[in-house]
Amino acid sequence: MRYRDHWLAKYIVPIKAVTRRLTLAFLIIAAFGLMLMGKAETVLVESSRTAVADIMTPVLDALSRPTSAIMAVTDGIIELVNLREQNANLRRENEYLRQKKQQSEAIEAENANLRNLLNFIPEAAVAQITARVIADEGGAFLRTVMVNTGLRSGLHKGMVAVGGTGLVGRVAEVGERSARILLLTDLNSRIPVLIESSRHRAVMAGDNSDWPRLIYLAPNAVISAGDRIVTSGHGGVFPSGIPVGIVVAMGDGSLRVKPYVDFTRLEYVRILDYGLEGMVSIPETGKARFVGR
Amino acid sequence: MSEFILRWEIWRRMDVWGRSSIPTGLVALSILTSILPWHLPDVTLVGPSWVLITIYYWAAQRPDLLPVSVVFIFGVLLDILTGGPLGVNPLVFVILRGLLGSQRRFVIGQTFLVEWGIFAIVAIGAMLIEWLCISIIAKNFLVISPALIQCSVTIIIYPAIAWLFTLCLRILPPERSWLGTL
Repeated sequence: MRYRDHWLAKYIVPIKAVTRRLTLAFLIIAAFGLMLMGKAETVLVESSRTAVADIMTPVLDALSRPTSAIMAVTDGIIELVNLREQNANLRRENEYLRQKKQQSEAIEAENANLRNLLNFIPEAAVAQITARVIADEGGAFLRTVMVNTGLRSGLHKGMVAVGGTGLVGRVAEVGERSARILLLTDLNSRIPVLIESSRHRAVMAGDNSDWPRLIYLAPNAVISAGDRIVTSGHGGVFPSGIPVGIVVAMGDGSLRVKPYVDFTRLEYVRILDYGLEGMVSIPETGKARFVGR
Repeated sequence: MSEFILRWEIWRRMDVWGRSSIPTGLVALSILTSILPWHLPDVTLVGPSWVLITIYYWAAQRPDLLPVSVVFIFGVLLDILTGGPLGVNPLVFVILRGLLGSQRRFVIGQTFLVEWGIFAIVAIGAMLIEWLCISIIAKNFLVISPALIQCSVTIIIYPAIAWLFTLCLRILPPERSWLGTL
């Protein structure tokens, strides 16, 4: 405030105050304008989004490598601590899985025989692309991840992303060398599913919490905690039969799905091309929800 | 001789410029921190809002080095990189920066507990604006619990980050006068 006494101060200080307020008001209006533009989902918004994502991809790709290294180190330390216990558990699991393997080999052989008898036409082989997760929205309102492959590697909107053990989500936005995957836990995710044992249909609706809800379940559906949930293939986005998770009964009587995939340690995803490009819509309410923002 | 003075002047200006861009650089760093996949084992998916802490701190301490337009651009960048609804973060950040720009004297020079309390109130306010905007855009009131968790984590972690930033505050060039910022 040394310059307060300067003769110019009398003129410049009020002008500066006014311009500052005008800039602030203008930027607040601009933010609302952006919201409207984003809501309208114009091609311009989407192409500029993917363009910026593409520019940032090399940076994020490079920076996300050390974070995986950090993960490996912390994992290593935790593993060392639990080594003995883990070993015993793994031995037990191994024995169980060996039994299962023998069973499944028998079933596979039987299946092949029955298919032969029925002249069953096998499904076409699914092309798959492996992508590395380079950005991960840790915020409160979104469940998406960015991966380091895009149009160049043959990705397109609507492809299905799976992790090691189950469904991850679907490709919602594709740039030249990056893509955004909408996780099944996101608010905008609606996935038609089946209760594997009873074959009852439902919709798995994400609400940004770790466990998505099961909605539109038939009132007479037979379902209990621990049942396996798989995709049903209705709606034409997800093919049928991809494992999703298991049913968990909540305290308030509602049903949720605990996904097989651990989203806190999602490093690589496999992106599968089933050639399906439908929109997820919910015929029960007649209201189609947008999925790719 | 004059060449030497010129060179010295260039170096001096580059040094001042470099140190002046520390707040902006830290905001950029906080954006990267919040979107990189950290894969911390068994940590909840919701991390603290690093960007909110950074913008709050520097808008309060050195608003001259963090113009409102820069804050707006960072907001847009964050929305794009996180894939969120466009415009929400710029709105929150511009309001935050505008508020701190005008009410700065209530925020700085307080005891740390008071400063922390003010930050907590601001963080809750920012979360509510964000929640409301996204709810309106989604045409449906969102579950607020993840936002509450994020807000609590942000408030809890604030002292540690603020302490780190205080170290940076010391190496910044002195605040410019009204004539200089014109």
